[in-house]
Amino acid sequence: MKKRTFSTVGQVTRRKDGISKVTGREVYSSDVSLPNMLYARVLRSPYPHAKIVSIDLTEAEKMGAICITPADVPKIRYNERQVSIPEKTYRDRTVLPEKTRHVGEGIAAVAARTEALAEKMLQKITVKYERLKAVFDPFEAMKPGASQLYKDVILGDVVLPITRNIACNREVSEGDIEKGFKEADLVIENEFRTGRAYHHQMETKAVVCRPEPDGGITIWSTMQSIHNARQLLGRIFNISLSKINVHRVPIGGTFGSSIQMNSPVAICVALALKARTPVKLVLTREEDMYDHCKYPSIIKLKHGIKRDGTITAGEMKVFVDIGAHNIQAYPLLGCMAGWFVSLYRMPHMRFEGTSVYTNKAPACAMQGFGNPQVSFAVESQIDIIAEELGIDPIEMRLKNYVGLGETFWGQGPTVRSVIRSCGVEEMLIKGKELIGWDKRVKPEEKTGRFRLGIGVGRSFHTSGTGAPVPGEVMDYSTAMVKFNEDGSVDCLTALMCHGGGTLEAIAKIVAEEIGVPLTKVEISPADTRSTGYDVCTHATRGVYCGGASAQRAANEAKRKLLKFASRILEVNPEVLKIRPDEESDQGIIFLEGAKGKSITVGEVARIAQIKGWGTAISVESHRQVNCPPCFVTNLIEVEVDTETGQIKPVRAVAAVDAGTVINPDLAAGQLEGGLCRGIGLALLEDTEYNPETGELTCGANLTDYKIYTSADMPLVDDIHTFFASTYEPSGPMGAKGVGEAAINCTAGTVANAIYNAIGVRFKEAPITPEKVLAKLGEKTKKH
Amino acid sequence: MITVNTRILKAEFEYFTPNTIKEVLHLLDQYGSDANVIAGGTDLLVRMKNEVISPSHLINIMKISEMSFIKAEEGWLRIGAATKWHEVVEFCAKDRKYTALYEASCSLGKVQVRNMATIGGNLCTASPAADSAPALLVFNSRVKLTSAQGERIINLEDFFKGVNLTAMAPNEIMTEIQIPSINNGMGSAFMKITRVGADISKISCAVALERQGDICASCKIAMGAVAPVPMKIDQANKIVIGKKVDASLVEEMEKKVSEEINPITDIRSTAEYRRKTAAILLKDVFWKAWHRAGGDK
Ligand SMILES: Cc1cc2nc3c(=O)[nH]c(=O)nc-3n(C[C@H](O)[C@H](O)[C@H](O)COP(=O)(O)OP(=O)(O)OC[C@H]3O[C@@H](n4cnc5c(N)ncnc54)[C@H](O)[C@@H]3O)c2cc1C
Repeated sequence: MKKRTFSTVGQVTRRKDGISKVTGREVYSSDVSLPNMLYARVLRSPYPHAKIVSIDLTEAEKMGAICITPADVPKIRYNERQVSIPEKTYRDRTVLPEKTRHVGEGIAAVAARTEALAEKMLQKITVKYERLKAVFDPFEAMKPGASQLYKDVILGDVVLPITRNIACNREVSEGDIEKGFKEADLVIENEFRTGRAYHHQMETKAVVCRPEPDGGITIWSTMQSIHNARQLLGRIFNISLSKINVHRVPIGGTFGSSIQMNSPVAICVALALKARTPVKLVLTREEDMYDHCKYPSIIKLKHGIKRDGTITAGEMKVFVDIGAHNIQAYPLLGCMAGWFVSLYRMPHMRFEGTSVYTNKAPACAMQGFGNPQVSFAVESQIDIIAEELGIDPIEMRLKNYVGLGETFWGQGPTVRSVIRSCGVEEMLIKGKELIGWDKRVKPEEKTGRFRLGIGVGRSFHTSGTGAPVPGEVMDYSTAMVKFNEDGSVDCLTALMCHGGGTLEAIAKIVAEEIGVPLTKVEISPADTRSTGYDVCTHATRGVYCGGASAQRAANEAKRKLLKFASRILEVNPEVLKIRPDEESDQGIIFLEGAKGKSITVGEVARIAQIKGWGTAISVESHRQVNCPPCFVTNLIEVEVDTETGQIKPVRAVAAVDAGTVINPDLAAGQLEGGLCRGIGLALLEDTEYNPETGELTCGANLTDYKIYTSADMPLVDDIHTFFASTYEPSGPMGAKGVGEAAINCTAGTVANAIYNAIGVRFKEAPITPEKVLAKLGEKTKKH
Repeated sequence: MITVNTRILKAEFEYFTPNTIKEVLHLLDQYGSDANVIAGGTDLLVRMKNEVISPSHLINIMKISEMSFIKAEEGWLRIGAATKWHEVVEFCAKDRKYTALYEASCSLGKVQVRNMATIGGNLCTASPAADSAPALLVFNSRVKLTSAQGERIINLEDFFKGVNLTAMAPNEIMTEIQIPSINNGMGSAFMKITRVGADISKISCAVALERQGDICASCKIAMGAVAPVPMKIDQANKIVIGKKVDASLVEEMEKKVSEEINPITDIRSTAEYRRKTAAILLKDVFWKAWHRAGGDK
């Protein structure tokens, strides 16, 4: 595919929202303040599992509290995330529950003039609980006779009984797995585990709700999909969708934790409707930490391989401890199957996934959606196999990776597309040189207290969830583009920016498509009443899917503008072009080779308005029919202190094949961020629960939930990021995604590097110094 | 705890900002154990927000100039209890003799914390993991406690009585920390093991020693987060004093230290890990101090 040259796309430009962010003037949800606004606080369960017998509000109401309890909220059961088609959506929660299923679950709420007052009122509420036995371990939970979190849930519109706390399971197979294993010279089987990391986004979940005089509501909240919230709130509170307006508000990070409408939103709406005045609810860090986390995984992995390194069969069994609610376990399991089959070619495969309810904070999507977990297992296993066969780990990967022309499952078995751009080989070869792979020696050859080790890992993420055949997940975006009379352009879309620069990329795509300078394109504030549907900014789909709809809207608006110009210039519209013009600082419309036949974009828009021809404007809803993988590769060098067990990443190469890179600096930033969180997943991050109390052992605060920062990363000069030189034919300007891909292979790479350093294979993340020392102790005992 | 709201301070209290030590002592006499001194607040506010304590009177001591100073005179280095960490860092960077204290100060929090927090606050919280404690212990530091009734000076090791417990009476405050002047030949070092770059210690260790050639003339060891209080290690150091130091001697010392300490398992680490790494940390810190000490000709 021939690459295009661009004037705006791929340039390093100053970020449009940069000034408001660095000067602290950006308005986040928690900054929204309205006249007569009350502050809400939520009463939360101290018990992991208990029936709520009674709630006494007398004292709180005497103080003037506006209160809601389970008795005051609609009984409707819903799922906070509505990305899957309705038949595949498991609904298990209500605004407030009649029984509490984890410590920290909201059971009542109050609104008052100040937060401190609301807090005091909460203490005046007395709740009678009937405590139930709690389960914290997924295998315990599945045992017959274990305490049950749910009798039933709703799947689509059908009541689905729940047995043995199994929220859902999935089986996927292709080929004949038994045959595959029979054909193998070698069968390798291992179990891997990853932790329940907390998202640790900077901004805790927040919402402001204003009830409107016409019975409607207006919402400002931390969200990745404003349309999701609009539809849900309409259904829960029985309000016409045309009377619900959800604003897009800049968000202080999310990492996937706001794909679903966050739990405080419905609570705040219920309070505001009762109070008949605006109500604000901002979670504390403690509440936030009990509200969401990453899906942990237990993965049993079995591969059949031939002596030459050909994989004949692969089998993966996954158990996921989803906590107290099923937010998206069904699509998660499908995706995990998809990540598994799309990493390496396997003629015969089988996948079995089980998700289990436990009395813990509910797990939800977090950067990578099951992919860091799967890649941790598979990338570790590939190294184990390579060693067993005496094949170089990079060779093993090059031999077996799923690439150009092959099928990629972007979102489980129902969302498949053919790979049409692939930089896997380029990244592995270049990465190998950059890290100095050829100087890498076996662990047995290393001595001394501090041992260096280099590991490789690769993965990918999907770019959106589109496919030729609509599957179980919805995916499309809508964008509006219009020309203003001074030559500037407005672009309106419900797409969200999580901080990574998605909307910046949209502006660039629009500027490029039309041919105006980037400074002339602005992204309009968005809300649900003025934008068409956009499923959600998730699944690394912002640029690839959202960008594609913006590109189409820009193209159509441009066509209209050129029609107006053709009237003025008296030429055929098809021959006119637009290019950015420095002198007029806007787009100039010209006829190639014909001097004098040119006019600025603004002039055309102005004349069109005066003459009454209309506005050059277009709205496009578009679904991508592919979900191209954005491939990633990491090569990481770690230093292991064999006496203290401490592991330090000292050098890293991180590469992505994102097709055309729209924002190079921001894409590199994504790679670095992914590296940092990925190393955290490998070495540090997890949430543990006290089995007696059901409380988080870290106390649900950041003093004891640690993440790595720049202080823990390799020095800037020792982190090398680069982009594969590919072009995705189905992407806007040849682009694919980056976001989630950035983290997916890091934990596996780190585990491989540790093995190369000390010859100990860790299959359970996080690999803490305590675990390292214990293992090294076992090793020396054996010798 | 899910029932707390660490974004706001729920408790109500009366707030004082006296300008002299005398005023503080007067207030303390008046309110006794209902009152709490607040310096940088980096420990106290955390405990108040978590509702571990809820004093009804808060006495800010940061406006008292006579409590914030660093002076070297008459054989002592005297540091006012309300001196901020960043000032301690700056002083030690210039003076260069108190290396262990310098390293401990630099490792305490990050810029934001060091710009707020005080040396007195670090000691008065009496956390087993307080980073300044081991460094000050190996220099044989003492602290001055003042009440309306007068002043008393006690050795730092006698100051710590347990987790969050000190020898201070409710009507006393710490006014200064006194460190004996250090001979030029002394070498010292401080190191800690943490979960991430900026963190409270899983375990910490300081060593200060003097050498005569290959002989260890004197050696003090102290450790943090290995017992209910930051502690001096009193047996292991004896192994090297007066002896020609070599790796095997240090190894003996490593073995001994693991017997002396009494670590627990908590959110930051396990007792087992602490026991194992105490020996390693001691070895690392010892050799660092050794190479720094004069006599390494
Ligand atoms: C983000 C963060 C990181 C931190 N990192 C570290 C670290 O790496 N290492 C470490 O050791 N600590 C660390 N701390 C803890 C804390 O910053 C230090 O212990 C600090 O020195 C406390 O000093 P302060 O002035 O803030 O004390 P305050 O919080 O004001 O007071 C602490 C206690 O001492 C009492 N007190 C204070 N001054 C006096 C006085 N003169 N006389 C009598 N009583 C007094 C107070 O009443 C209170 O009980 C950290 C804290 C935070 C928030």
